[in-house]
Formats: sequence, C-alpha cells, structure tokens
Amino acid sequence: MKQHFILPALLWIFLFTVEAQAQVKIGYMNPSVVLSQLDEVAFVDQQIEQLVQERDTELMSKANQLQQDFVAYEEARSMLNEEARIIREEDLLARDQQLQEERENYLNEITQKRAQLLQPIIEKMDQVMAEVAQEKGLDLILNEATSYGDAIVFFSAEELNITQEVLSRMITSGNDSEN
Amino acid sequence: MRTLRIAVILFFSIVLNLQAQAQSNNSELKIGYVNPQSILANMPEMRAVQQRLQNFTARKQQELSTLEQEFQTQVAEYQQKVGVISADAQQQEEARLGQLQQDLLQAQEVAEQELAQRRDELVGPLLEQIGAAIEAVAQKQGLSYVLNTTTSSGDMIILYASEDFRAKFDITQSVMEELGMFN
Repeated sequence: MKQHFILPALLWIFLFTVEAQAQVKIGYMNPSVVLSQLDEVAFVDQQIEQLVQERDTELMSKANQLQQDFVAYEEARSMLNEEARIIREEDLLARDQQLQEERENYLNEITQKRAQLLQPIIEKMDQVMAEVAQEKGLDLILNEATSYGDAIVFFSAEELNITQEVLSRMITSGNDSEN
Repeated sequence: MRTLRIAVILFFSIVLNLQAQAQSNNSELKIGYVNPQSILANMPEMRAVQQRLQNFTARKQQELSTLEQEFQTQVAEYQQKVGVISADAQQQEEARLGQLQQDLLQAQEVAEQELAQRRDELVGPLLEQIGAAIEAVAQKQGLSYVLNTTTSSGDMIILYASEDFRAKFDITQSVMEELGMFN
C-alpha cells in the first residue's frame, strides 16, 4: 500500500518540476544606474575630466597663437610682396586645418580612453549579473533602458529588478579589493 | 484493488492533462532572441554592398572637394583684390562668397542624406530576407516571441541569457542556416 503512495508522490514532484521549467524567468536591470553609483566610475570620470582640461588648455593656446599670427599677418600684409603673402597664407591655412584635425582626434581620444578605463568595471558587472541570475534562476536579463534613456521595460514586478542587488555586490567587492 | 487501479488511472490522466497544459503554457511563453546585425555583417552580399557604399562615398567626397577648392580659390581671389575695390563691390563680393559657403554646407548635408538613403536601398532587401528567415525559424521552433539583442545604436537589449536558455533560444545560428549561409 505504501508503494501506491510513493508513485503518485513522485509523479507530483515530476509534474511540478515540469511546470517550474516551463516558466521562463526574466529579470531586468539598469547598468547605467549601477555605473553611476560606483566610486570606481567616479574616479574614471575624474581622470577623464583632467584629460579634457589638459587638452582644452593645449588647444586653446594653439588657437590663440594662430589668432595672433593671423592678426600680425593682416597688419603686415600691405608691406609684403605676393610671394611672401602666399607663403604666410598657406602656413596659416595649414595650421588652421591641423588644429581642426586635432580637435576631432581629441574627441575620439577622450571617448576611447573612457571606454578603455570602464572596460574592467563593465566586465566585473557582467560577472556579478551572471551570478545573481544563476542564484535567482533567471533565464534572461533585459536592459531596462537604452543609453539614450528610451525605456525597454516599461513595467515589471519590482522583485524582478536586480539593479540594486548587482550594485550592492559591486560596492562590496570594490571595498573588498581595496582592503 | 480495482478502486486503487481506477485511482491510479485517474491520477495518470490528471498528470498527463496537467503536463499537456504545462506544455501548452510553455509554448505560449516560448521566447527566442536573435542578433540581426551580426547576421547582416556576415551575409556574403554585404561585401558587395559595402563596396558600393564606399564607391558612392568616394564619389561624393570628390564632388565636395571640387566645390570646396572652387570656394577657396574664389576667397583667395577676393582677398587679393579687396584693397582695390569699392566698399559696395566688397559688400557684394562678400555676400556672394557667403552664399557660396552656404551652398557648400548644404551640399555636404545633401551628400550625407544621399548616403543614408543609398544604404537603406542596399541593406533594406537584406534586412527583409533576415526578417523572413526569423519568422520561418520562429514558426519551426514554435516561438511566440523573438527579441532583438541589440539596438542599432549598439545598446544591449538582452544583457544576459543563461547557458541553457542561450543553447535553446538564441536562434541567430538557425536564422543564418535558414538563409543558407553555411551552404
């Protein structure tokens, strides 16, 4: 008689397992919120800010010098012969062109530098996110919003939002590695 | 004994019924995902598309640089004669050069728009093929949803998928197979 109970009990367990497996469990998080609250990211931004200031000063002084040379040329122009004028003009134009290129490169350099400094932090976040997902048995984690702030997830149960969990683990691991 | 047998049969039928229900729920909630940009980048047709876009860009750049040289020449000519012409003539010349500069900027904008349009024309049909293949794979695998992994600006939509889920529901490879990309 006992056996007759065991079999149904096993089947029930099996049934619930099937049902549990059938449910896709989807969580979500907002990586920008996590990043915005980490000291490591603030430190990266400080470094970037410093780099911006250095480059700004450098470019500004080049631009000022060019402006001064241009004014000097304008003043001296009537006293220069045709050949000398052309040489001076070509030099001014070339320097102006170079300055423009430097401005463009500078923006690329800043973007690249930031991405490079953030890379290890983002990798760590991905790792923590995977840990949290495994612990909570999540199949998928969606991004809550794009970097432009467009919502991807408009509404979901708050318990499926793992942003704070990932953030607090990142902070803890950051403190651990400092100590 | 007979009651017991009936009970067991009944029980089985309930189990099977519930299992079927669970499976049908499952099929309602089957979610797959795909990265169309990576498919597009790997399509053999893309090489020709990129070549054509590069040619188009080079041609436009050539046109623009001719216009720009023309403008620079005229500015230089004006600078040479600025001291010897009347104030009226100066004003007229400057207005004309200003207009020329406006035209140049506009030509740059138009070239960019044309490039975007050309890209749409060339890439559009490939995206349609990808769309049709996604639909075919989704139907074969009984998926109710197929999500995109990444936006066109490179933002991730799916941040994480468990290994199990990825193995079953990342249909990127299957879509490539459907498109005959491995033949």
